[in-house]
Amino acid sequence: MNHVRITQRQLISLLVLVRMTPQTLNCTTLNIVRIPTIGLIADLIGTALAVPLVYLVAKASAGRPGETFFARTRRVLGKPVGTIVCVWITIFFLLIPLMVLGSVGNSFSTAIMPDTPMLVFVVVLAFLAANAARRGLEVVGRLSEVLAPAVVTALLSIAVFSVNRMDFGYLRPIFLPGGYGDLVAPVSSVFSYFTMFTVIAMLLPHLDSPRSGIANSLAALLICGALIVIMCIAMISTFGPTTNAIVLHAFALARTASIGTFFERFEVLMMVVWTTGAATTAAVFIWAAAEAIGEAFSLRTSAAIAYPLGWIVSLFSLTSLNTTFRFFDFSTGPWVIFSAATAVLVTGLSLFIAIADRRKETNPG
Amino acid sequence: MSVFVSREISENEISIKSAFGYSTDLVVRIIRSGENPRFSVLIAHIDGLVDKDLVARSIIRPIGMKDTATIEMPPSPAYIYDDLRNRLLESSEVKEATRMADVLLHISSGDCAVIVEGVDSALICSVRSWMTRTPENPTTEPAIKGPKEGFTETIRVNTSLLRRRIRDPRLWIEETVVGEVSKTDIAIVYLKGIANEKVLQEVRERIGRVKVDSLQESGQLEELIEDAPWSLFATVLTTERPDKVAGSLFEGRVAILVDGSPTALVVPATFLQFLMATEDYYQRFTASWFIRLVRGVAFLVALALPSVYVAITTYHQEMLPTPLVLSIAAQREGVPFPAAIEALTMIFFLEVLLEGGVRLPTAVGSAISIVGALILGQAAVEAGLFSAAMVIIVALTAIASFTIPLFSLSNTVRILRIVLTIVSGFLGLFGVAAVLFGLFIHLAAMRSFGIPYFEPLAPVVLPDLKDAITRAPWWAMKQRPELIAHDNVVRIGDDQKPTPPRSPQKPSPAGTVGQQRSSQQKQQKGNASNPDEQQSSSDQRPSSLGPATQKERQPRSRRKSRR
Repeated sequence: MNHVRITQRQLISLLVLVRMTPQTLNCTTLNIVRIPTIGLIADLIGTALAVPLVYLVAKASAGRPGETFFARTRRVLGKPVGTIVCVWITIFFLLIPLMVLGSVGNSFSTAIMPDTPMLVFVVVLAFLAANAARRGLEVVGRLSEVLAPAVVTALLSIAVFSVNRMDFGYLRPIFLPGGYGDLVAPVSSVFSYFTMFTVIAMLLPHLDSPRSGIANSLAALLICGALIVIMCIAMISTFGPTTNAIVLHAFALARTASIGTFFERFEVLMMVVWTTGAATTAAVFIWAAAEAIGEAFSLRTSAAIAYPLGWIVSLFSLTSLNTTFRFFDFSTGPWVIFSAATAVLVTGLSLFIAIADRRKETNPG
Repeated sequence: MSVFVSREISENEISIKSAFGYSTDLVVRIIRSGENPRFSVLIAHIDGLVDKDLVARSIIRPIGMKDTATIEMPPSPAYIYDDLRNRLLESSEVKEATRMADVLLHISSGDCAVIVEGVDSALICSVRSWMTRTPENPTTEPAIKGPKEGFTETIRVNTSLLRRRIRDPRLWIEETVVGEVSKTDIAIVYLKGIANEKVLQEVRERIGRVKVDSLQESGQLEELIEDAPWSLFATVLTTERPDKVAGSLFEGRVAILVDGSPTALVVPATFLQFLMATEDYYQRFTASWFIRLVRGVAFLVALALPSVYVAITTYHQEMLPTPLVLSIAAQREGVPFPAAIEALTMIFFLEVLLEGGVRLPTAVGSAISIVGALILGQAAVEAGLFSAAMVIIVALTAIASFTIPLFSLSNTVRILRIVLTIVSGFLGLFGVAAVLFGLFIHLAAMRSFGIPYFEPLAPVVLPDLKDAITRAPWWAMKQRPELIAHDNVVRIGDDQKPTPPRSPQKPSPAGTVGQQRSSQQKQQKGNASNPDEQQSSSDQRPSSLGPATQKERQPRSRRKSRR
């Protein structure tokens, strides 16, 4: 592992950015609920469920600074099993840029520039992301430190400046026509996006003070949860019962936002957020996947595989998520199942490794 | 040519003359002086590089006046040599050289070599004097408020300009020579105890690695020591202003002066420094705050306005209000080119005008600008070749680019503007955002002598943001840039914010008299123990306020604590 260090602020920014970027593209949770207000409840429950996941992963990762999750897995479980876990989580890490790039490509080619093929958007963003990942975590951290506040500001301004179109009456009544079963799918969807936070297993060993990383990871989670709830309230209040029929929620909300009658083009902000946020998010996970592969195969440097990973991601993104329907099917089906399984795996392994390490410490013989 | 100075004066004469190829500006003179015995002295210098009066007065005359007959014991050549060195030569600086190469170097540098027959060593007298330019207002970095003097081509004049601003022995100057043939003097200037030692060491190493035959200008050295040779962005700051260099030294940076160049190099450089003008620090912070903000917006306009215009008019017309779309569409009706080609053609003509204006004499240059901007622009619109909106956009871009204080960044913006316009013609706003993001990655990854180039924005360094996109008041900028001068960051003391005198208060009730008395005693004690503090606190008062009372002179924190 190279000894690049990122600051606490950069950690929070990275986590906020990777979680909020999908939110600016497709809020799939709101599309799979029968009544939009269920999405609001699902956001709250999904965020709450993510707290133990983030806490456990952060706690386990901060325990041994200088050793990543993969290194610890291989040490405790042995090389063969550790390598299988590495491969699993690497695939999970690569699915995120795949999904984000596919989503951005879809959004641009359907909503903004229908004459330009999706290939162009995906390839350009994959190149930028791989370029940033190749330059290392330090650079990705710096990018996110500047972009995360911009993304948060953009989202909040869209919510605030569309307030004259909102009707808070749409937020009630909150009820579940199909019983608690109505919550399973949307809560899983929200939770599945929070599994992106498993990347802290790779980030925390690079933190200037890994111990503080636990609190800051939780802070990032709560910031994201609050923002998601605010955005959800804004969308439901603005679009009412039609919320679950809209595909690009934040973009649609941006189109309604205005300051007086002289500034009415907030969707430019969304486009900038899409482009920069998606590229940075993809960069984080390409970097993490490259690091994981580097450790699994004991490579001297992992930076060299950033570009090949970028090309793989863009190739799969173009072939598997090339239409909005395919993307929607993937993000509400296989993605949810795979990410939930990964969350269970990472949490379970983190606990197991922590217990094994503690036993070894208390009973060295 | 012999390696060392010979005892034979004729051999030395031949060596020196042949080394210079019997150049006509080389003056070699052999003076025979003294009685019983007579002794011979060779004097060599370059005509035009020395002060002839000084040579005559301080070297030739003392040699001629030396009368060996008055000495009882016949003196040896070594005695004459020592006597000349210690007593007779009236030059302010006399060195010795035994290697012929050193003697030749000194002669080339404007010194005068004095060689006594029978001694295998030469005396080098400093009599340098040549035509120099007096410090003038730097034409590339003019300032409305602030000093009006700039560096000249003479390194010693430039170091003296810095010494005048920093009258402290901690201003250290290290000199070295670069250029196998040109033997150009280089000065590394820094403030000992404030400059970052790692940066300083890096500067020494990089300059030490330079192996070139000639160094004529600091721009050449810049290319040889910079961090990112392929980048469009300069990682070394260049300036002609001594006050700017002095300010940079106080921030912990290191300056490099090159003999023969009026431009100093300052390292490490950060991106935002290229958007800062010197007078930002001389105006009141409110004005500086506003002007820097305007300059920042102008930078973005100069960089991206044509590309954004092309992107919106080509791909995102829905973003414009309907009346504006109709107005632009009406103007573009009949224009035979797509918006991107129209913009690129206009930008090309603008570049041609700028380059023409620079190369032509001032009077003709301004005439060309008027002809180009007004007549050609209007004619092109009337002919239907370009739309009026595009002329406005490109003109705005040109004006905005003039607000960038440093030419190196201005050049970068000119190139990037063309790249952005081309990309926007293909990919619209997505392309513009992608290129800007790519630039951001590039800037965030760059370093200048080990310091992040995009600091304090990426990484975010909160204290340094006080002097970044805008400027905080001087009394609030307590620290030097944290990453640059991390060993000695405090530059301004506490309680520097000026406060108006408080109106005299009526004596408080009896209960507080004791407190007042004890506080006066404390204050007197404090004044006795630290007279400087008392002096400095009174000095900070605006002079218009008149003499301060004892109570008013106390720093604010002390007043607060007493309350």
